[in-house]
Amino acid sequence: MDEKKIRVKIWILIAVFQIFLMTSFSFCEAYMIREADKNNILEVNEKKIEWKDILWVIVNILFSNKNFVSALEVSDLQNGGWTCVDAKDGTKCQQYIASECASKCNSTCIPTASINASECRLGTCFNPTNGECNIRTPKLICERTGSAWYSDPSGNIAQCKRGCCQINGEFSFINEQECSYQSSLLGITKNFRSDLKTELACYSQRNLNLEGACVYGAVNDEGKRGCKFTTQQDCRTNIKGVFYRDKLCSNAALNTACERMKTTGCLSSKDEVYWFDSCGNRENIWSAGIGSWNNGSVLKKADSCSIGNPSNPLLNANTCGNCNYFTGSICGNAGGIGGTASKCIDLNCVDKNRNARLNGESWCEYQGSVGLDESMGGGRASRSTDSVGSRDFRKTCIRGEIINEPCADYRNEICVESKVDISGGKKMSFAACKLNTWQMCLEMNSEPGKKATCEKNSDCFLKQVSVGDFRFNVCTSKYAPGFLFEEGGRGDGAEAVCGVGTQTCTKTEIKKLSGWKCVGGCECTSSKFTQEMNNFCISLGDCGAKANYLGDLSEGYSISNAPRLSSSYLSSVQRYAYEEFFKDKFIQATSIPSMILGIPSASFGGGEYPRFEGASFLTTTAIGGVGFIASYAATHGVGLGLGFISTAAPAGFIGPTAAPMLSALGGALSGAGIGLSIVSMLLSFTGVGAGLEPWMAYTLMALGAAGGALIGATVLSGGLGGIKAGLAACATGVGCIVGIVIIVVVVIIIIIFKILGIGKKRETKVTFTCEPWQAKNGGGDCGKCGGDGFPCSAYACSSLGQTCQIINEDSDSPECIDVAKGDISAPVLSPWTELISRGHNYSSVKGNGFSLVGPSAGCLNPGTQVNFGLLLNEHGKCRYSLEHTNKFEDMINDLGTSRLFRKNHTIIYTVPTLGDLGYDEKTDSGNATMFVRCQDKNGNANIEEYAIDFCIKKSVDLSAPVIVYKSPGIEYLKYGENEQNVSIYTDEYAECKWDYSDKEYETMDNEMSCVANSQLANSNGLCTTTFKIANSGNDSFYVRCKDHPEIGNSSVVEFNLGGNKTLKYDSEEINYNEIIRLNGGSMDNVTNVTINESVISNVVVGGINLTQMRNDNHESSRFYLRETVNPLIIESAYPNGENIEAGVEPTTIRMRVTTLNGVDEGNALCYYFFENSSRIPFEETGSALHLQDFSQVYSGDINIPVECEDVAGNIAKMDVNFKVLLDSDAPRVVRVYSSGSSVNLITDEDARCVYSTSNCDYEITNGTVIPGTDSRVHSFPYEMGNTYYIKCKDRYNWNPGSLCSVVVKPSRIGGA
Amino acid sequence: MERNSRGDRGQATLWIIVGIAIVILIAVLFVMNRGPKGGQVDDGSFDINSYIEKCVRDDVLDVVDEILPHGGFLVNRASKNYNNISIEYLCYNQGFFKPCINQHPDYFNEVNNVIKENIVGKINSCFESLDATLVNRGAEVSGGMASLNVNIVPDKIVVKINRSMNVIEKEVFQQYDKFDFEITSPIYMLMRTALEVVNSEAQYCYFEYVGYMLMNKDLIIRKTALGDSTKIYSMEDYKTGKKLNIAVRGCAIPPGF
Repeated sequence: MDEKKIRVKIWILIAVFQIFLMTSFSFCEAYMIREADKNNILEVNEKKIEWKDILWVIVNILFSNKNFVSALEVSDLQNGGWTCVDAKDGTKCQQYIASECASKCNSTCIPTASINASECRLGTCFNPTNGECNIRTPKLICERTGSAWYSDPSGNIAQCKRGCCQINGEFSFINEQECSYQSSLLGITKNFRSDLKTELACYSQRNLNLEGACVYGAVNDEGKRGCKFTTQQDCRTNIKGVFYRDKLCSNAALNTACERMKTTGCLSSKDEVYWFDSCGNRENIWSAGIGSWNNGSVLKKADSCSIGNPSNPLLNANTCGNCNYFTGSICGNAGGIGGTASKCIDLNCVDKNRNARLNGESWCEYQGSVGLDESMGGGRASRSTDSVGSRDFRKTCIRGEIINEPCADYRNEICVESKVDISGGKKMSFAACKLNTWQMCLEMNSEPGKKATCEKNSDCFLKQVSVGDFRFNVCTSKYAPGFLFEEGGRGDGAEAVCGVGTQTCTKTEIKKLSGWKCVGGCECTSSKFTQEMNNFCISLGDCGAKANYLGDLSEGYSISNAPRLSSSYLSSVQRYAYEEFFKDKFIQATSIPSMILGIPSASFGGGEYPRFEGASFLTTTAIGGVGFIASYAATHGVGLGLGFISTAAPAGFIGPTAAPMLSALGGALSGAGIGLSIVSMLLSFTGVGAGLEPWMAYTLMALGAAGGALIGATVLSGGLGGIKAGLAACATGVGCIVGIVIIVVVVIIIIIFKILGIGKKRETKVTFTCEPWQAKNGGGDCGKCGGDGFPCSAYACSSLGQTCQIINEDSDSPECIDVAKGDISAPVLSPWTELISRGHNYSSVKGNGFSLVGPSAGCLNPGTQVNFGLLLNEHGKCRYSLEHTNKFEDMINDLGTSRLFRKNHTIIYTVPTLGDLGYDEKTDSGNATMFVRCQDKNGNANIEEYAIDFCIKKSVDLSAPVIVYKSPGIEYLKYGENEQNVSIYTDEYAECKWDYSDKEYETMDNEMSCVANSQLANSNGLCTTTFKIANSGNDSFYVRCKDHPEIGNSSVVEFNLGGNKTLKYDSEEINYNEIIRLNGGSMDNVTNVTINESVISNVVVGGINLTQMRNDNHESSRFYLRETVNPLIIESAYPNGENIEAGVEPTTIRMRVTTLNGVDEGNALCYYFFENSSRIPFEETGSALHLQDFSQVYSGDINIPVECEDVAGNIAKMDVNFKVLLDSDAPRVVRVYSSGSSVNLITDEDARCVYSTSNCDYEITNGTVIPGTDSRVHSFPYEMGNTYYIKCKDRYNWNPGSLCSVVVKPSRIGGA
Repeated sequence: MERNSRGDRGQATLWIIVGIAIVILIAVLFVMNRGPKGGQVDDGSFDINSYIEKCVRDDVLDVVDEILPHGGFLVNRASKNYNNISIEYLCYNQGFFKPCINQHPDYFNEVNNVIKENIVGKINSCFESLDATLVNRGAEVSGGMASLNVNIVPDKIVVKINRSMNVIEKEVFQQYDKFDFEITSPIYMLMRTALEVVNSEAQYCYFEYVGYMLMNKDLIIRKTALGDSTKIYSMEDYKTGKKLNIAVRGCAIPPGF
C-alpha cells in the first residue's frame, strides 16, 4: 500500500474520530451542563397565571352556547345597552340590555347607550323661578319641567353658585335666585352675599348680628318702660323702639320693667344655657353667681365662663352654661341639677371598648379581621384575613348617640379611618366607607405592565406564592371580597375566580444509587405547598379553607399527593373571626378624598369598573385567552459541544513525517475521546447518568477515556505501518487489552445500573383545588345572625348555614331563618333530558338511574366528551364513584362542572378507555356504571346510589383535531413588530403546520412545536410557533393539524388482504366497500364496519387497527396579524396649553383627547392619572375621541398625565397642562362720557348693564336694559335732571349686588 | 269689735261673690271660645279668615304628614318598599357601578303640587261649609271655586288662595278675594336636605351626612343601605320629629364577580 493511500486512510480515520467526538461530546456536554445548572428545573415549575384565561373561563360559563346558563344573548354583546326614557317602573332615562329594553320601557327604546342618547344627556337643571339646582339630570326630563338645562353635569354654573342669603335675620347658604324667590314670597327684603362662599362663613354671620335692648312703649305706673332684647333691625323696623346696643333689658340705666336673672333656659337656635329676665328676654350665658350679668351689658361667649377643657369638656357643667356643640355639649333639660332646669348636656359618647368619642367623631368597627395578616409580615407573603359573612361598619357619635352605618355588603366597601390631632394631645377619628376596588386588582393581572402597578392601588397587593422553586404572584385585593354562591350568574363567576387558585405543582425525582432524589418541585408534596396555596386561595375571595365571621371553619379545597391543612394552620385562619385578633385595628385612610368620598369622583363617572357593558370586552379577551397554565420554557445545552472541534482537530493533522511516538499520542487522544464519548452516550441514552452523582459519572467517563486512550495508542503505535499493523499490535499489546477490559467493565456497570433503575425519572403531580367556600349544612346557627351586635344581612345569614335565609331584609328587623328545618328528604334525581351531547341519549330511565347510550344506541367512544345533565328536585351537590360505596362521604369524585349547590348539574364527561376501567384493551366493549349520590343543603343524601350505566367500546378516532383557541387572541402587532408568538390549543394531542396559503396538511411548509397538554380543560394539545408577516405583506396564516403524532408520519396504511394481496391506502381515503370487494366479498379480519357520522367502531383490517389511523384537517383555520404601520399618537388634547377662564370655582373642565394612527385608526382606550393613582379610564373612550369631565377644578396651573393604548398595546402619552383663571369680579365701568344726548359707558369686560333712576337698591333683573349687551361699550339716552344708578354684570352673572357699578348724574358744565 | 267683725264678714261675702262672678265669666268665655270651627267672635260675626286658616292649616299639615314618609309623594312613581312604606326614588340607576340619575329635577314644585292637589278639594269643601254656616246665620253669601298656590319656604308653607267671596250679614257687606296663610313646618329644611343628598349621591355616590348634621343641629339624618344597593335616607327635624324618607340607588355594586 503506498504511503499516499495510507495517509488518506489515516486522515479519514481521524476525521471519523473527530466527527464521532463532536457528536458524542455534545451529549456529554449537555449532560454536564444539565447537572451543573439546576435552574432548568426551576423554570419548569415557575407558574404564570394569565388573567385573560380567567376571563375566558368566566365568559365560557356565562355566555357559552353549550347549554350553560346564558346571562346575556349574543345580540346583547353586540348591541350593548339601549336607553329607555320612560320605563314601566316609573324611572327615567335608564339603560337596559338591548333584548330586555322593549319589555321594560313605556316608550320606544333608543338603540344606544344612555350616555349617547341626546334625550338623556346629563346636565344641570336650573329652575329660573325658585332657583332649584339639580345636577346629573337628563335633558328631556329637565326640560319637561320647564326648567333650563345646562350641559355641565356637575352644577358648576353661575346660577347654581351659592352665597349667603339673609332674610329676616336668618341666614341660609343658597343661590341668589332661591334667595330672591323666598324673599319675594315672604315679602321681606333679602340681603345676598355672593362673597361668602362657604356654609361656615355664612353661618358665622349669625354672630355678627347687632343685638341689644330695644326699649319701647310708654312709661307705666311705676315709671318703667317695656323692653325686648333683639336685633337693631327688628327694633327699628318692627318694634319701633330705641335700640341700646350690647345692653341687656335689665340694665338699670334703661329703667325698664325687666328684672335681671329670673330664670334659666335653652334657646332652639343657640347652644348655651341663658339667663332670662322677668320679661322673658334672653340675657347672658348662665353661670353660677352674679358675674354673668356683667352689669347689664352683653357678655360675649368668649368672655363667658369656661365649660371645661379638652380633657374634660364638661368639667364645669354644674356652674357654667357656656355649652359648645362642636366640643360636645348643648343646652338641655337636666332635671334641675345645680339649681337650674337647664344645663349643658354631654353630646359625646363612649364606644363598646369604653373609649370616649367626641360628638361628630366617626370610627370603624369590623365584624372580623380585615386586610392582610400583619403577624405574617403583612407583605406579599401574607394573606387576606377577611372572614366570610363579615362586614365593615362606620360608627358615628352624634348628640350622645352612636349611629351604626353598615358599609356595602360582600365587602364591596371597606371602612377606612384616619386619626387627627386635636387640642390637648388628643386624637379624633374620622371614618368613611370606601369602595373596595378588588375587581381592579384582579384586572391588573391581564398584562405584565399593569401588574407592576398593582400596589399603587392601596386596595391591592401582589400575592406571592413561593414553595421552593414553585412560585408565582398574582395581584389581588388585600380585602378579600365576599361572593354570592347562587346557582347561575354570579355564583359561576365567583367559582371561576376561586378556580384561579387551582394549581398543579410537579415534583420530579431521579433514582440515584442512594435511592430516589428530588430534583425539582421538591416541596410540592409538603404541607407548605398546601398552606401556601390556601393562603393564595383565601386571598382571592370567599374561597378555600377559612372561617365565617363567627369562627365556623369550612374547608373549600382539595389536595392530591400532599398533606391536608393541619389543625394548627386551620386555627390560625379561624382566629381571624375572633375579636381579640383585630381589636383596635383599622384600615388607615390613604387620603382625605378617598376617605370622604370613597373614591375620586371622576373615576366613577366613566364606568371604569367592570360593568355589564364590559361583556363585550370579556368576549374579545376570551378569543385570545392564553393557556390556564403557562407554557414551559426549557431549552438548554445543545450545540455547545461544537467548541471542542478546535482542540480535537490538531491531533489529526500531524502529517506523514511524524514520528511513531507522535502517532501513538494522537491515537491515544482519539481513543480517549472515543471512550469518553461512548461512556457519556451510554449514560445519556440509558438515562443512568441522571441518577449518578457527578463524581461517579465523571469517574465512569474518565475510565472510558482511559480505556479508549490505551486502545487508541496501541492501534496507532504502528505509525505508518498501517491499520492492520495497529490492529495486530492491539491483539497482542497489553495496553489495548486493558483498555478493552476497562471499557467493557464500564459498560457492564452502566448496564447493571440500568437494570437497577438508576436514572429513572418519576413525576408526582400535586394539585391544589381552590373551591368556593361553602357554609356548613343545615341551618342550626341561623338564629345567631345579628347576635354579635351588628345587624344581620343576607350575606352574613348565608354564611351561617346552607339553609339559612334572610327574611324581612328591607326592614329594620331582618331575620335569618332556617328555611329547611325538619327536612330529612334527600334530593330526587332525574336525567336532564334537554342536555345531552348530539348523537347520545338517555335510555332505560328509571327512578334509580338510566343508561347513557351513544349513536345508534351503542356504546360510548373512549376519549370522547359526552355532555349530559342531572336534575334535582332541590338544590344539592353530587359526587360519583365507579365502584359501589356506602355513603355520600365515601365518594371522592365531585360530579359536574360546578361545586355549588344546584338543581341543574351539567356533567362534561370524558369517556374512559377500556383499559382505564380494567378491561382488556382487545375486548370489543365493556360496561361501566357511574354511581351517583347527591346531598342537599341540610346534609340529606340519597342512600341508594343513582346508577348511570353505559358501555364503552374500543378506542376509535376518525375525527380530525379541532383547534379550540389561539393565544393570544389579539391579532394586532405593536408598532415595529412583524411577528407574534402564538399557541394553538387542540382538542386532542396533535401536530400542526401553518402556511401563508390554504394547502393540504402535508404540503404546508411550517411546522409547529407540539406537546400533549393535559392540564388545560378540553384541550389536549398545545402547539406553538411564530407567525411572521411575509415580506410580500401577506398577513394571513392557515393552520391545519393532524392527530396521533405518536404513531409516526406514515400516512399510508398497508392492508393485508390475504394471500399475496396487499393494498395500500391513504388513511384519509379508505373505501371500505373497495376493501371488501377486493377481498372477494369476505374479510375474515374485518369485523363490525360501521360508518356513521364519522364514528367508526372496532375496525381491524389485516391485523391493522384502523383506529390507529391519523386524521388531519380538511379545512384550514385562518388567522391574521395586523401590523401597526404608524405609531399611535395623541393628535390633540384640549385644554392642553390653554388659559381657561372660569366664572365659578370649582369649575368643570371637559378634557377632549383625540388619538390617531396605531393599529386601529386611532381607536384606543385613554386613561388619566390622579396623583399617584393607577390609571383611570376616561368616561368616554374606546374610539378615537376620548372625553372626561373634571368637575372639581380650581384656579391655577393644572397638570394631568394622559395615556392612551390601542388594542395592539401601542401606547401614546401626554402631559396635559393648562391654566385655570378665575373671574370672580363684577365688571368695572372704566369710562363714562356723553356724546350728544347719550351717555356712553366703557366696561373692562363684556357685560350687560341696566340702570334705575331711584337708587342702587334694586334687583338687576328689574333695571332698564342699556343697549350694548355682551360688549364693552354701552350707550343710552339721558334726560337732564335724572340720576342713573347703573349696574353691570358679566357672563358669569358677577354684579355689584346691592351697590352700583357707577352712578351717573348728567349736568351741564357751567350751567349751560 | 262686733261691728268690725260684721263688716269684715260682709267684705268677705262681697269678695266671694266677685270671685264667683269672675269664675262664671271665665267659664262663659271658655265655652264661647269652643264655638264653631273657624272661631266666632263675641260680636256674633264670623271670623272668616280664622275659619279658613284652620281648615288650611289642618289640611296642609295632614297632607305633609302623609307624604313625608313616602318621599314627598302620595302616589309613588318609582319607589322602594322599606318597613312596608313605599319610598320614592329621587335618584336612580338600575345598572351597576354608575352614579344615579336625578329623577325629580323639579322636586319643590312637584311637592308643592302634591300638597296643592290634595288640599284643593278639602279647601273648597271648607269654603262650602263656611258658606253654609254663614247662610244658616242669615247671611247672604256668594262666591266661586277656590284656586290656590302652595310654596314651601324655610320654616313654613305659604298657601295663597284665590277665592272671591261676598258676604252680606246684618246689612254689612264684606268682600274677600284672596286668603294668604303661612303654616309653620320644617318640610323645607327636610326637602332641602334631600336635594343635597341627591346632588351629592349623583356626583360622588356618597353623602357625608354626619358633617351635614353637625352643620345643621336641628337635623337628624339616618342612612340605611339595603341589599339591592338602595340607600334610604331619613331626614328628621329634631324639634318636631317630622321625618322625610327618600330612596337613592346609584353606583350599585353586585356581590362577587
